[in-house]
Amino acid sequence: MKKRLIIFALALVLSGLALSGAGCYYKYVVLRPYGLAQDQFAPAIPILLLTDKGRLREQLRQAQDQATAPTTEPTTEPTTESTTVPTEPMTEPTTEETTEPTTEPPTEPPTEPTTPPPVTDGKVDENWFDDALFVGDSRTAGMRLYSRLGQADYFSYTGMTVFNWPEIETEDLYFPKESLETLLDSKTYGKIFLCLGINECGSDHDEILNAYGELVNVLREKQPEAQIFLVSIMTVGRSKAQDGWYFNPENIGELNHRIAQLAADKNLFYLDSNVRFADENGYLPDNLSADGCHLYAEDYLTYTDWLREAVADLLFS
Amino acid sequence: MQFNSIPFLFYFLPAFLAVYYLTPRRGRSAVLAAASCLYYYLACGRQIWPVAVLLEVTGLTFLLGLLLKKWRSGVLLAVSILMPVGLLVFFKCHQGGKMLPPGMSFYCFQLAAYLIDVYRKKCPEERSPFRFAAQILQFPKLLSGPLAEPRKLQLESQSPCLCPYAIHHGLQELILGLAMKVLLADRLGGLWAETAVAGFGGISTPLAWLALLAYALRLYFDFYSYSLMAMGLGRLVGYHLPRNFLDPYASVTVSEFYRRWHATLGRWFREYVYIPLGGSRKGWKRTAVNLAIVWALTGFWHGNGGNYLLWAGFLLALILLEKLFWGKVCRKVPLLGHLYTIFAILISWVPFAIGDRAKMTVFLGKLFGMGRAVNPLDYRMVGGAYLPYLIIGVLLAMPWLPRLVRKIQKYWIADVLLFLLFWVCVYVMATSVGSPFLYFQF
Repeated sequence: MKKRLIIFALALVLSGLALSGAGCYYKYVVLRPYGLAQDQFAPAIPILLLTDKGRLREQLRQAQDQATAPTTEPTTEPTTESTTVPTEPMTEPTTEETTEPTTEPPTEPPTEPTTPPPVTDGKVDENWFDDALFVGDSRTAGMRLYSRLGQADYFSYTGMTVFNWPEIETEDLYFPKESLETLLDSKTYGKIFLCLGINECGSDHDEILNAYGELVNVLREKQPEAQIFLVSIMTVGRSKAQDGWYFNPENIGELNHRIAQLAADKNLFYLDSNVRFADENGYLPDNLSADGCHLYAEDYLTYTDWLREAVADLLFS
Repeated sequence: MQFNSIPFLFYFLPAFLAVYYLTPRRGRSAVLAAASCLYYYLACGRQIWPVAVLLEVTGLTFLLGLLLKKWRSGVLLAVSILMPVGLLVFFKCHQGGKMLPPGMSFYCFQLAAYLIDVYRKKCPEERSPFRFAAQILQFPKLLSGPLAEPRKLQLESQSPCLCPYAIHHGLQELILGLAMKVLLADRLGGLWAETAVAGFGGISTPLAWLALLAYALRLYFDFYSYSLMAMGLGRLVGYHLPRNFLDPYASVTVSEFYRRWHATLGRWFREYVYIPLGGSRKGWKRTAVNLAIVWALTGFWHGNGGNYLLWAGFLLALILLEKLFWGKVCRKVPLLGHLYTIFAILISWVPFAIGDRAKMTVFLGKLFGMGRAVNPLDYRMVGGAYLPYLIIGVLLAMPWLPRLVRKIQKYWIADVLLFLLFWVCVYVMATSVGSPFLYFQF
């Protein structure tokens, strides 16, 4: 028994020391110069690097590339630095941005100009969404579950962000478990709705918009014929907003403005859900959500009604 | 800082064990007490006041124990008990319990047990402040028990058993508990959370039952895993902590269930409340009153919301019914007893899980087919993702698991499997956000 204990304990201790040692090396020698992963515990870092969870390996590679590349202005500058609109209260309807920015994207008008618009009672017909793809986080997962539209595909995953989408694999009624890129390679969509932002709203806005733009570029490259809609980050309830500064209406509003600007710059459509769902103070009303973040099941039907109306206004009015 | 976290497993525990094992035997109690204070400080979000409260109430209890030995008086006992229990009641009621320091419900009960046992002469007064601190503060059981018998704690603190068998066993229990928490309990929690977020009014009846089953299993494995880890850590420091879970879902009556579920809390109430009140020795009416008092206190111990009283009242009604005649029937027909117990316990978790009365009513109605489902097939999409965990959970809740574990523990293959399991858990912890133990809120 003593021998077994010694072997067992030694195995645990030595392997633990090895992981911790490697972790310390990577954290303080390799990653620290680039300011990466400083909030991670050292033993976790080798695992994150090996599995590329959180894109740490990718971030390191990019940081190393930037360090060795000749100095040029960072390509990023999403332009118009948000200085244009520091804090817009959520209540201000950004509909003006939604309705006019994008004067129909250069890709073409809807396919059959002569046929009557697929609109009934001010809402786009559900079967218009048969060739649609919704990409989003847990809120989109709620839509997937409780208010599906036509035969649309829903690539949704709790915790999805504009940063981690490449490593996510999920499934839905009409496609098996696969990554987004694989899905985009295997099917053709007429419209794609991007519904991301709440999980990363505490991150740097420039970084968010860069990543958002990169995702849009991927969608454009793989689905050149698809109409792309950027859906605003729906606000949160007052109690949820107390969980972190990043949930306050001002921060979400600013981020949404940047997303709307991105849509304008890239000739995409922008849909602002907060025109319908935010109260006069910019919060999600308590009667619509149990946790201040996700709608009740029955209220997802209201959400998709709004979506159908907003698309009808945008495309067919 | 929880047991299932990288800082605890890779920083705190190895550093503590190194110091503890290298310290001469006489100094180990002090090392354990000091490390436990540090652990508590970190576990309370680096706030000093909960540590101060803990040390103060422990120190006062130590002194009162000495006084009780000298002046064995009922009045002094009553005043002494008022200190830890009164403090607990104050924090439970103050601001709706939001200020309740972690673990207070457990360590106050542990201190009260010590005082009562000193008075009853079941346990001599502890004369060493360091040993007393080690008994009460020891971090393996500080936050969520188990509640140990004071005399046993005392004997073990005098000569902690650090034999190879105990340490080996301790490591095995620690890893098993870790796996149960990280790989099973945390996965199951997602189903109930998703259902609650969707709102009980819009879900389907099958999903309601799946979610309730997930909650029941999650609660069980969450607490069971913590207790296993506590036992494992206890063995690593030379203490043999009591088992808190004795295959409760193998019970045939609700009474039996609560002798097997959180067994040490049930023992505490029996020993220090039910029996002193007369137990079942003074006729049926008095027995019913005594049981009502015990269950009211149990409900309050879990929380001062009306839902906990409702939970306790529901169980009390069933227990009284079992005492009348139903228990005999269940014991005679075990299959009926099993089914009845599982059904009753599942229903009893509804008020335990849902504080809001309106939502509770909606959910109960949903369980029995009332109301419309927004998507009648939601259980296939949501439940499907959790089905493997539900199946594993149900299988592991059966009594065969502990028996199997004890059988294979003897062989070296168990060490290999546990070693691999440990690293799987580390991988999962490193790549996901941790979730706290449910019973840390009490």
